[in-house]
Amino acid sequence: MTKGSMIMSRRRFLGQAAMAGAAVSILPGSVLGAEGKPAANDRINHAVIGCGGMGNGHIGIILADPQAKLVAVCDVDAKRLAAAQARGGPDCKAYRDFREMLASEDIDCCHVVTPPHWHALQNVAALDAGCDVWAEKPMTRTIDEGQAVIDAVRRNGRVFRLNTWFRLQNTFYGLGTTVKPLKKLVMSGALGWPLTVRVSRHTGFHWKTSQWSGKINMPSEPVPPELDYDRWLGPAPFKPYFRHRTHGSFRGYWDYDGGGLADMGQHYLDPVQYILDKDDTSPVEVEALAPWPQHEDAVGLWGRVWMKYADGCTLILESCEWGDEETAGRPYIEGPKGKVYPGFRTDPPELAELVKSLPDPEPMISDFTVSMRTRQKFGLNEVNGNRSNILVHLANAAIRTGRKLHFDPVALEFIDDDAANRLVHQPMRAPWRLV
Amino acid sequence: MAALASELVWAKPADGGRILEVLLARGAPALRELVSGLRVPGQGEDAGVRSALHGLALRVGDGAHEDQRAMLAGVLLEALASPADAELLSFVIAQLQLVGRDEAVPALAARLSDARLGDPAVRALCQIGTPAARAALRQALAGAPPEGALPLVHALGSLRDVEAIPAIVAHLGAADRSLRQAALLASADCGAAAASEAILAAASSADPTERRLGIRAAVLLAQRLHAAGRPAEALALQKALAGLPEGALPALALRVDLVGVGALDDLIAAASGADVPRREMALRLGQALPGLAVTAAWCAALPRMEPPAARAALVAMLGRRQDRAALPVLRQMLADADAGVRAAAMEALVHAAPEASLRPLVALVATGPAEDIAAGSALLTWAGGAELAPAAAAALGKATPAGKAALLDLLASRQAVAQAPAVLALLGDGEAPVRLAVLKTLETLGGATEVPAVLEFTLATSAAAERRAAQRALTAICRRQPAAAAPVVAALKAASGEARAALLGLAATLGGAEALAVVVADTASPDDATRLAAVKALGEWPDAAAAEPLIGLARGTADPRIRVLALRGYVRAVTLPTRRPAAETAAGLDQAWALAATADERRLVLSGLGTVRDDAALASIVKGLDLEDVREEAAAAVVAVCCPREKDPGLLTPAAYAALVRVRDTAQTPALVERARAHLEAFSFGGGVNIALGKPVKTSCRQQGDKAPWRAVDGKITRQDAWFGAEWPSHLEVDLTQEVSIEAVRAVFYWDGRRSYQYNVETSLDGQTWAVVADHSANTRVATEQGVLHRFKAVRARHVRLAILKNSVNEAVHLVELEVYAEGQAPAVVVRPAPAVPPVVKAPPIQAPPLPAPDAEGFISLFNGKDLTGWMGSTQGYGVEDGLLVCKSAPRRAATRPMWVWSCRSSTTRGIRRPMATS
Repeated sequence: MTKGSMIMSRRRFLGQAAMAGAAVSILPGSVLGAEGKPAANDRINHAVIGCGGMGNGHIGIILADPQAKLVAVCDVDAKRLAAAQARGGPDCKAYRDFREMLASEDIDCCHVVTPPHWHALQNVAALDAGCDVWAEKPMTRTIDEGQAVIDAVRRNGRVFRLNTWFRLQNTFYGLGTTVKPLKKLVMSGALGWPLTVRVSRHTGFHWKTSQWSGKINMPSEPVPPELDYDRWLGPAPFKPYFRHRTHGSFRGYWDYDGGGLADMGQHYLDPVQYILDKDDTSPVEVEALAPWPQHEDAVGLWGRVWMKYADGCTLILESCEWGDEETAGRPYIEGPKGKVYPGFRTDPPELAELVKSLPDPEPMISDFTVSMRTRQKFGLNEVNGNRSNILVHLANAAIRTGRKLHFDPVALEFIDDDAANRLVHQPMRAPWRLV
Repeated sequence: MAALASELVWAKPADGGRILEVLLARGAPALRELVSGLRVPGQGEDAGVRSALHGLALRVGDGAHEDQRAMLAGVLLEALASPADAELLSFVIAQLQLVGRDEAVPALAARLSDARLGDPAVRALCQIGTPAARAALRQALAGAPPEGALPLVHALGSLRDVEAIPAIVAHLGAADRSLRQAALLASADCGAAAASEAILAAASSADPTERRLGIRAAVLLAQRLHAAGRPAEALALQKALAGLPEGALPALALRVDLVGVGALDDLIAAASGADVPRREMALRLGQALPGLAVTAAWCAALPRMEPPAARAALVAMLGRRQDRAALPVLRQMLADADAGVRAAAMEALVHAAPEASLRPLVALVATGPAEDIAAGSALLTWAGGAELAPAAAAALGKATPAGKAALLDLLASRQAVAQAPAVLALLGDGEAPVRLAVLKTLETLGGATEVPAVLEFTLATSAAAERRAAQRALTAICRRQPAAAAPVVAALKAASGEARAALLGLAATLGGAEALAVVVADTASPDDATRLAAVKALGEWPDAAAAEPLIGLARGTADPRIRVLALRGYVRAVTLPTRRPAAETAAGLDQAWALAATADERRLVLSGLGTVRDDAALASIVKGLDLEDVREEAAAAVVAVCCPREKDPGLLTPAAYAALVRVRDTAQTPALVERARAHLEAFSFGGGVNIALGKPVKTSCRQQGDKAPWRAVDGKITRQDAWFGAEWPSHLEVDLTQEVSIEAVRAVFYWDGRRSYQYNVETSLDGQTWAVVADHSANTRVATEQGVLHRFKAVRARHVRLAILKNSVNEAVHLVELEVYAEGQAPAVVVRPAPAVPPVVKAPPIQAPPLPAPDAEGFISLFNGKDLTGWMGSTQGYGVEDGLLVCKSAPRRAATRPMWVWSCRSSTTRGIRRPMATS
């Protein structure tokens, strides 16, 4: 029996062990063998690509989960890799090349916690290797890379989760409420239609545009010996090294990520998309108020972004770190018949009472272990996750091009704008290619 | 030009747009000048130039500015043709990637073999993607050495360039692994049927990376062949793939891509059986296939599906398809032998036909087996809309007991107030669990209409649990609607005996003036049980209205039980959270203090006084400091009233100062002494007559610089006007020039937020024999600008000295000022303006003294004041500090909400009295 078929047979076992006739989405805890610690061969094998700040967060989650086992870690920085392996203990192997790790290890769940220019490649590689994937946000670095991830999930029959969760649980940042009552209220029609949603510092959301700005005119610096810089760049264009480009501050450069919008965007916007029931579509218009032109390499500030769906629903993003502010004191959600402010203060006030008598929204799987064991889609998956990923990239495209853009939410391209579309499709540096 | 461009760094959009328009209007020369402003990173400022060129590329590249685009591309190509640093040229190429068309192809092609610029050039050509660009890439591939072929193969593959197939296929057998794999993918992407064999060989390779790549390439090639109108070849590839290990799942998805509905039989076969990943994939693919015929085929296969989990999964899929054609078979599945299938069928019905699913679901919950009730109610919480409540209420009558409980829960969760009468009708149900569920539901849904019936039930029932549940319901209703309490009061007036006692307890949870009058009257009842119940009711009254009657009772009664209950109730009532001024609360407690005759009673009152953070309470508390048996409790109360807590800086008044000094000097509990001592240092003092000012001084060591000893008595509190002595131990002595009775000395040492000084204050009549009047030799607190005011019992002296023992940071001593005060002339406590908080007395987190020994009622002390001996249950997070039981894990929460730790000893008594330590 080859190594590969052994891996597959173990995975099948993992899928079957859990199936106690439960195809419904509300699963009792006992289905998971919650009565005690699972037997060793029923634990889920996890591996982590990328062992920086967030990677260590994922490692912490894995080590704390009695159903999980960390079998391998991977990084292109030798120091970080050694530290991560030390955390993982003697059974955890270390790899500098994720392809080698995916080929050699028996991995059920691969965590992709690298900078976003790697996300699509590594997500697809892990899915093609038969792993389920727990991916960091933003899901991909460009709009067209998202579809490759969706195809890979479908082709391989895997499950995928994006590492944001506010549509599923927890108080929604500074808004002071969970998403559930907002969803109930909006879906009841009590606010009317179409709605405007303001995601701004004034409604509880900090866009961190200053924090994730890049540096300009930087002289090149010697690459530290522990870092394989060429592998760190991977599919991104080669540019001379300086420290701020990489670890911990890469979000400030367009080649790898997209600033505060890409950092917080899916956390902040995915629940909005869910509340407005837009999981299967995207805005048709986007426009930004931001410094223009933007630097070609370093991400800069922005003030406000408008996005409008075909039905008139509008998202307004405001950073409060550049330009004027118009969201102060204005509602988080505004409709023709009612408004909702942070802390679930409503106008008219009785809307808050009304919510109690409304039915709950349909439940979603909010524990990825359940998804992996039952093979059912996670609540925040590659399909709806890609739609909120697109919101992030639409906003950044408007900031970079400095003009109002029209988007086709089916073809996933800008309409009659070649330059903007050249931002949507960006070829990778050889030998990397996404198919 | 560069100046113009420099304005573009983070420009306002309108300004940026205007500047770029100016640049474009000035034409190619201006753009050339702009390009000449590019600098190698780190060798000059060019951010504006880069922003400008990038902005221009994005603007003119949009397809609507052809002339300007051609102009910019031309200037960029000129730059590319001239020698320059590779980094600059790769920036230029990156902009050509945005604006380049065919005119850029030759120049980019010329760079393809360049070590540093080859890669950006490939990407730019790939993005341009015109026939000319493709031709250039092909030509380069034809002449490329093996090590330079890979990027070109990738690029031509991603362009799906059919004409490149021969050149790509030539690399399928390359020795270099990366190139071979790139050729596999690229030939698949271009639809090269000739590569089939190599691709399938890779897909069955023993090397996992090669194998996965081969599978991916096989899927891709089949899709491309299919798109190119060569279905037979595509299908052949799909069949071959399906037979490979690991190829089955991708082949299934591929089959759907190739033949659509034709793949249905394969999907149905894959959905049967126990292979979960395969089944879930087949169902997901099958769900996306459109058409009524597809639904019908799945429905036909459904009854034969085994195991039941497969049936359940298919049922769920049919629900997600939302095809009404599946409704009959889904309804049929509601009667399946397997509970999982039934649950899936319920959910599927909700998805497929929400409006039609409500009644069957409610019916299942009403009369089905336990597992269907659980699944059905979970579903109805989100599936049922406004029509749920009437349907659930209508089904109540015929439901099983478990069904009734579930339906009642649903009604409560939806706040279905309109259904309260139907709920009430069930109160006569034969089953006790149902009656309890009804009462619980009425807590949420009940109104004034329901009160008489529930009241009647309360009086009639003999089951204690039901009576308590009914009382909880009445309390909840009357809290929501105060007017609903009228029948209860009326019934109370009319009742007698045991019923009256029960209603008195109920009245205590409701409150209200009318009820209060009845209860107060009953405290004089000739009936023993009624009288006791009335006093207990007053003791639990929800507001302070019961305070006056309670103190009256405590004064007037001869019965020790009533006295204890009344006094305890009184203390509780006056310390309830209120907006009444704290002084009034303190006055009320002082009345209780005057009444308290035993140590236990005084402890009780002190526990209440400890919650009133106001001077007024101290007047009563200090009386306790005089009494031997409650001194420690009184000291604890002083500390509780005066010392800082969280953000509250504590009481800083003369009365607080005096009380804390007494605690410091007389209390036995070290922790209390220490807290008092610590807070005493926070007081500010003002006024007083410093008799050391300008008097002669001498020291035991040499001075540093110009920091002479007289500066310590110059009256200036600045760090420059200080005596700096060269060493410690050393001393500074002031001669008051005549004998005086002194009672205070203030020493201000150099302060920097980190150093501390240790010293003694000593006095002498003759300058020869010295007595220590203030011992500061163990001090570790850092020096501050306020210094430390040492007060002591008045002593006669002519000489005063500071014997300095240590400075924590260096070898020298630095005394800013030494002040000496004669008796009666010392500084007084300066009262800072009261913080702007309303005088709300909150339930404090900690303050009670050790609980007393068994009292007149026979209650046993649960807490020994030292540790948690005898306590069971989870005591984690709780501890003992200063003789107090405290919650350590959540002090903030404890400050606003009492929590309870249960003790095993309580089971030996008839009940548990609310501990005074609410922590």
